[in-house]
Order: sequence, then C-alpha cells, then structure tokens
Amino acid sequence: MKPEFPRDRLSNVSSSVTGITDVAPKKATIREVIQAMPLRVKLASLWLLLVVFGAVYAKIDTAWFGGSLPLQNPNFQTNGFDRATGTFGTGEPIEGMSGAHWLGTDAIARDTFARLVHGGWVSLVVVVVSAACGVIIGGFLGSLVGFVRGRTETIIMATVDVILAFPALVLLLALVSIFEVRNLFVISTVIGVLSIPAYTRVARANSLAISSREFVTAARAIGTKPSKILFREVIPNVLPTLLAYAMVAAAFVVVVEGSLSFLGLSVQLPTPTWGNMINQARRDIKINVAQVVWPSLALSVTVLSLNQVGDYFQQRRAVKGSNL
Amino acid sequence: MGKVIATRLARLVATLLAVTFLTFSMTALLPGDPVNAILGVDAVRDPEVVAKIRLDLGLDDPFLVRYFNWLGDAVTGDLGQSYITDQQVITTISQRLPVTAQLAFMAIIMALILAIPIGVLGAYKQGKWQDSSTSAGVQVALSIPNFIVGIFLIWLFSVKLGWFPASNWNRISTDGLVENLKTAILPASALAMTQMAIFSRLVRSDMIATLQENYILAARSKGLSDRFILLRHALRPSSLSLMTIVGINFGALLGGTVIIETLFAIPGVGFRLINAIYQRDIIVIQGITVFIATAYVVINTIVDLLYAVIDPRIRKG
Repeated sequence: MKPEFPRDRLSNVSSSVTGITDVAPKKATIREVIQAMPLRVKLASLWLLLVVFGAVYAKIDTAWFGGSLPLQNPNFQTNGFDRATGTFGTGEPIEGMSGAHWLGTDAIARDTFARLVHGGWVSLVVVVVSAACGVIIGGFLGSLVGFVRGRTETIIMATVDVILAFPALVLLLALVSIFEVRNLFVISTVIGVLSIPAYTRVARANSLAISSREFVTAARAIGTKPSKILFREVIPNVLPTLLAYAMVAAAFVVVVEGSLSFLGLSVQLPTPTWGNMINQARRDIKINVAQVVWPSLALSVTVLSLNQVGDYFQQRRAVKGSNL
Repeated sequence: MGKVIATRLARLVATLLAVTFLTFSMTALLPGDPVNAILGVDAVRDPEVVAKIRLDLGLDDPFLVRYFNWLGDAVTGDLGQSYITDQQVITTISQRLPVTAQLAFMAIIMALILAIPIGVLGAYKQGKWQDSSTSAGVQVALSIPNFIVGIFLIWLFSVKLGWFPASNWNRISTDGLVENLKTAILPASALAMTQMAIFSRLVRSDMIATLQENYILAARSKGLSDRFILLRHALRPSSLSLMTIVGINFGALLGGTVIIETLFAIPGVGFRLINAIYQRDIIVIQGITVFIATAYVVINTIVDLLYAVIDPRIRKG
C-alpha cells in the first residue's frame, strides 16, 4: 500500500483559512460527465455524434471502398444508366419518401438521404479546421499576450480588433471572392484564419485573469522560466474555456459555411453540402417542399445541438472557473 | 466628455485606416493579373485597352502609393467604377443603400416589438413554464439560419397563401408605401427572427439582474403594481445595453442582409455585392466592402459615444 499524502485534509484546512480551494477536483469520468448532462444536452450530443459518424462513414465509403459500402452514391442520378449493373435506374426526380430512397430524390433523381449524409463532411471539415486554427493559433497568441503584456499585446490586439471591426460575413465574402477555385481546402482555410481573432480575444481575457493568480506568481517567485510558466501554468488553464468556446463558435461556422454554400460560393458542385442542397431544392419548392425541409432540418438541428452543448460546457466552465 | 470623444474619434480614424488598408490589400493582392480578372481570362486582349486599364488602376505604381491614391479618391466619394456596368460604385451604393437600410430598420423594429415582451415575461416568470417555453423558442429561433427562415416564409406566404410576392421589390417612390411593404415584409421578418432571439435573451438576463436591486423592492413595498414596476422601474435601466446591441446589430445588418437580399432578389447593397462576386467585378467588391465596413465601424463608435452620454459611469471609467 502506497503511503498517501493527506491531501484532502490539508486542503480543507487551507481553504477554511483562506476561503480558496486550490485542490483540483477529482477528474470526472466520461460516464459521470454524461450522467450529469440534462436530457437536451444528451440528445444534442447524440445528434452531433450521428452527423460526425455519417460524414466519416460516407467519406470512408467513397475514399477507400469506392462506394461499395451500404450507402447510395450521392451523385448518381437514379433514373440514369448505371455502369456498374449495366441497366437503367428505376428512380424518378423528386420522389417522396420510400424504402429505396428514404428521404426521396432531388430534382435530378439523386438520393437525398445519401446526399445529406455526405453533406455533413464539408461542415465537419470546416468546423474542425476552424476550431484547430482558433484553438492552436488564436489560443497561443491570446495566452501569450495576456501573459507577457507590453508592446506585443498592443500590436496583436490591435490587429485582432481591426479584423473583428469588419462585419464577419462581408469580410469572408470579400476573401472568398479572391479565389478562382473554391475547394474544401480553400474554404476551410479562409474560415479557419478568420476564426483566429475571436479565439485570441477569448484566450487573452482568460490568460490575463490566470496570469495574476497566486500559482503564477509563485512560479515566477521560484524563478521558473517564463516560457515554462506559459506552457505549464497559463495555457493548460486557458484551454478548457477555449474548447467550450469552440463548440459555440462551431455553431456559427456551420451557419457561415451553409450561407456560403447557399450562395454557391463554397465548395463546387456536385459535392453535396447542406447549403447547396437547400439552394437547389428551393427552386422546386412549389412542387416539393420536402426536399428543402431535409437539409434545412439537418443544418438547423446541428446548429441547435452545437449551441446546446456549447452553452452547457461554457456554463459548467463558468461555475468551475468561479471557484478557482 | 471632450476627452472621451477625442480618444474615440482618434481610435475611429486609426481603425478606418486599418480597415481600408486591409480591404485594399485583399483586392489588390488578387492572384494573377487584375487585368485578367477585369477583362476575363479568355477575352481578346487589345494591348491599348490593357495599357489603359493598367494606367487607370495605377497598377504600375508601388503598393503604398496605390493605396493612398485610392484612399484619397475614396475619401472624396470616388470609389471607382465598375468595369462591367460602367457605373460609379458610389452611385450604385447611394441608389441601393435606402433599400438595405429599410430592411435592416424594419427587421430591428419588428424584432424589438416581439423581443421586449418576451424578455420581460421571461424575467418576470423566471423558472416558470412561461420562461422555459419562451427560452426554448428563443434557442430554436437563434439556431435557424435566416435564409432557411426566408425560404419557409416564401413557401408559406407566397406559394401556399399567396399573400406576398416571393421576390422583387416595389419602391415607395413609384409604387407607394403599401406595395413597398408587401415586398419588404417577408425579407424583413426573416432577418428579424435572429435579432428577436438575441434581443429577448438580453432583455431577460438584464431584467433578472435589475429585478434584484433594492429600489425594486422599495417600489414593491410602496405597493406599486407589478406592471408599473416592470415597465417603469426595471425596463429603463435594462434598456441601456439593449440600445447598444441594437445599434451594433443595425450596423451588422447593413452587411448581413446579403443572403436575404439574394434570396428575395432585392436590389440592395448586399445583392449587388454578391453579383459583383459572381462577375469578379473587383472594383465593386472593393467599394462595397469598404463602404459596409466603414459604416459598421462608424455606427459602433456612435453607439459607444451615445452610451457615454447617457450613462455617466462610462465617462469616468
């Protein structure tokens, strides 16, 4: 049996004296985190997992299995000639829901369910890239300037302020219009770069608060190198807040990509995205509204879910942060 | 007060310089030859035309010289002219701005009319079913992108009911106010939905904080009616932050109407921007982007200053 340091008792004493509980709370297991979620957050997480699973599955299907896994080809016109079987398809344009086409078919007889599942991929990539850019670059810059202050801070925050002074969508449109070829790489990079300033601001605010805390002062006092304090003390404490922010930012990013797609300024056709599905289907809204409903629902429910999960984690973070 | 105004104005000028510089560099740093972008890659290239365009744009000058020349023109209202329609960009904007501003204004008003009662109700009945159901509704409203709202408004009110046209725009000057409102109501509603959600969330959380103040307790113990306390004592201080966000969002809407204008084919600034992007009409993209960004920054500064005028605490802090 290992000798145990009476950590709890010690911390109780100190907290009763100083009113500060500096002992890290016991790490909750994943099961405990899930159990603590309200039902709506559970449902939202479930939906997000489904979307991610569908998008990854669809990508694996086309990339590695040549579309042989059980999911229809999103670009195959089901009333056209099928080279694989050598026969003509039996589909019709703008079908209703059926066993063969779960959510019906679109204006040129492509399977809507398959397009919907595949459409999640673009949203997923854009969200992941923008969160990665934001958390890594924005998080680092923000933590750095909140910690070192001085002229670096002035310069970086002035740049951030200028970029945030633009209405986001207009800046994005102007940037996107520069590129003659718009593929997933270009779109996700542009949105990713534009995500950095907001993350920088959030990270800086947190870094400022953390840099004035006792443990940072203590680290300085015992002569720890500033770079070590930054990476060992400041950034690890900024990160959770930033990740909670990333969920909320993701909701915004999904809307932004959807808007670009809707305007035909995101990835090029025939790659399915929820935004371009909505745009294509709205032309036939007089004949069939269902084809507009499915991608609209997918987009809105995803945004709602991201908001729910993001708000939940931000609140938890705020509560935790308050007794830091 | 004078000092506050001076620093804010100085910061405004600095921001505007940076914003215009950024926009200019973005469009100036277009990959490839701007002349290609203007003439189209496969156009028959008359060397004389190419030379004229290069001279017009000052393409052979150093970058900073080009920026300051362009800025000097821009300050005097000359944003250049479209190579596709030959129209001055400033003329385009001045023709189309009233349309966009009307949409933004209507959206804000409609949002406020709905949001204030919803927010007050939520705060007054905090935690009760009235609060939780309106909060849930607001969450949903916040999550549906405005172009989706717009499409379903078209489906319901144009396709099914036939009350309003699905696209097009009637001008007040030529068609009268009623006809104008008929074409404006659907796009403005689509824009209003998100704004409503934002405003009502703000009113609710502000009011909850205000209702815990001592002077509310005092008013209550005087026996004033709940209604009077809510509207007179509580709503007023809460309206400060609401005013700020209304101002900022109005500015944001000038650029934020882009998608709705495209969906409803409304001849506003945003629709022109999208068309310019489709046509790669750089001068127009540049001009409109700079205009919208400038308007946004200026409106934000005005809101800030107004805030300082109304609330003395800000002036000192």
